[in-house]
Amino acid sequence: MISAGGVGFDISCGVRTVLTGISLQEVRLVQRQLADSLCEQIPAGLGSEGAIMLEAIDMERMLQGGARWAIEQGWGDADDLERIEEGGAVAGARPECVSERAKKRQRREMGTLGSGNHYLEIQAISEIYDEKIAKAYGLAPDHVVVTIHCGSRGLGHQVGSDFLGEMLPAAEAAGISLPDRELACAPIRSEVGERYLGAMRAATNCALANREILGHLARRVMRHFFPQAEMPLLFDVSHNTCKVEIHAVEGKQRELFVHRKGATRAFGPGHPSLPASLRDAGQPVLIGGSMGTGSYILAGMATSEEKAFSSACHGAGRAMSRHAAAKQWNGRQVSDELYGRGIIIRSPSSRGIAEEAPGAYKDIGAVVASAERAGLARRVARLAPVVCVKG
Amino acid sequence: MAERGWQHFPHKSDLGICGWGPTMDAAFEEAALARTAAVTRADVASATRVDIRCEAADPELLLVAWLNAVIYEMAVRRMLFGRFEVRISGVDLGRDDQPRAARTRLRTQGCHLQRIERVAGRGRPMVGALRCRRLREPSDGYVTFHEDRLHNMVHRARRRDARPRNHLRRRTIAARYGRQGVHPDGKRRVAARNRPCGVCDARCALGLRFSNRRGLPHSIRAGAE
Repeated sequence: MISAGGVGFDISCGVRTVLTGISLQEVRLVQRQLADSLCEQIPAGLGSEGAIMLEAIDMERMLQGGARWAIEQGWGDADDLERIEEGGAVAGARPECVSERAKKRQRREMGTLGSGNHYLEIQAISEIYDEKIAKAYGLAPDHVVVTIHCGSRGLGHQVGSDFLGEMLPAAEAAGISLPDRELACAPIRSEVGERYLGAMRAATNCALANREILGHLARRVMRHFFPQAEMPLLFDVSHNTCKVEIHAVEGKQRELFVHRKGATRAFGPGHPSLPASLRDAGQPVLIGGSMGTGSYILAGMATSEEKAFSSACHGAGRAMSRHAAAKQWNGRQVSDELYGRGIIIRSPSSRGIAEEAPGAYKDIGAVVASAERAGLARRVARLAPVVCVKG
Repeated sequence: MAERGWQHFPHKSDLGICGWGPTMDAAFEEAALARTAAVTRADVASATRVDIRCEAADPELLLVAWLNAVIYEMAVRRMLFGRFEVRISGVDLGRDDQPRAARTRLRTQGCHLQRIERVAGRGRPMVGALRCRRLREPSDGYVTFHEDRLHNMVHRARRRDARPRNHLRRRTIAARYGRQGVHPDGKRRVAARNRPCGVCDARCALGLRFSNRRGLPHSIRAGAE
């Protein structure tokens, strides 16, 4: 079976981290200007639109080509491709299965951050837990990295909504009683299932292209302030996907459709799909925390294959709803408090800041420690936020 | 409790919205108002009518389809809606003298259904129609447009840690009073409403439209219904 709800509505929402080699002290000198420039250059917020407007032919190419398409257009670096899941583009995408409404929504939304918990952060590496893996990843204490969290914007949501309605009767026809209608699903080999798979892969490519463009915009700003900076991509990994992978089930290698909703792929050391430069260390697992408490970089462990089909958590998780957070905090108050701690927040929405207040999230340290104890991914480095552009 | 109204409520990590009214039509209208209120608390004044037709197999799915259609129109037209007129037909709703409450869960970019209470009837198509309003100036003294970048500029100009540069001040003035100095409260109206934008051929629906990468407003329409 394949489930639209099991993939989620922000299809291929994910995180990418770019190394900079710049020290925190250097960033502190231009921290405010950097925050303003990133805010100016990175369109953020609900319904935000960027400078890129796609014609129909470009839309088709983007949905097929993903990050590769973005690089061909000059919005990215070809060296990034080996550090992106699936080499930057998922095979089997079928743009013709994506509705015109979805394409229309995305027409002006390429290279935008979106709203909610999506962000672009400049983060300082505040603690190293595993020096060997950190070295393999290129992480050094007090250096800063740029981390981007966003997804497939309006297109992905429209694809999810379109197929949710189609899959409900399909599930009923297949004799499946759903405990929750959002878990609407269809047999993979059915007409609806195959169309969803093609559309979902196209939406995944949209997300990969979007993050590549955002990475390009962020690099452009960083290089304005630090012209000498080399900014290689550490990794780009999605956490709302369904992918065909080979896993051991009851001792046999089987091809599975692995749904990950709010879960990150976490391949352990030696996995053949990892690039050679990362194969010994294992896949970087990028875990977003909150804009006050920081984030983590983990490394996939070999035991995660057996325990969770090579998956790990994707973030801290909310401790309270957006509604409750907006009632408890004021955006300006949160922003001022974080400014006092050396963290500059830029967002088009004061209410959005309140909803994303650090107190609204679980303790990220406890979450990643649990993931490590469970044998899913080991801690490599802790990242402290310095600048946060919030959607 | 009032005869009709809406509210937001906490739902796990998301925002829940609830609209209620004497009929399901009214409950759907209130649910859509709750959706708009999740974006902005600013008053949205009438300017343009948009008709939307939705069909679904049952009332729950119709509510999802309805709110997602509103979100879609907001996204592609770059508009906010402030008044809704819903007509649901083609379904046996049973006795319509009982109050209805439509509840749903709102996520970042869409709505996902929880339930509709006291609703009978399944399996037939239903229809909704939508009327929208144009933004007008809220009571706190400056314009909060739905365009995030301008919204950001206006607010940033007021922050202590980001003093506005001259061009930002100009944009702020444009945001408050329009490029032609017309205050958007409608006291001084421009006669030609819904006229084409001077830069592109699009018509401005909300009073402001952005077309270029710098987010500069290049078309402002004054007047309100």
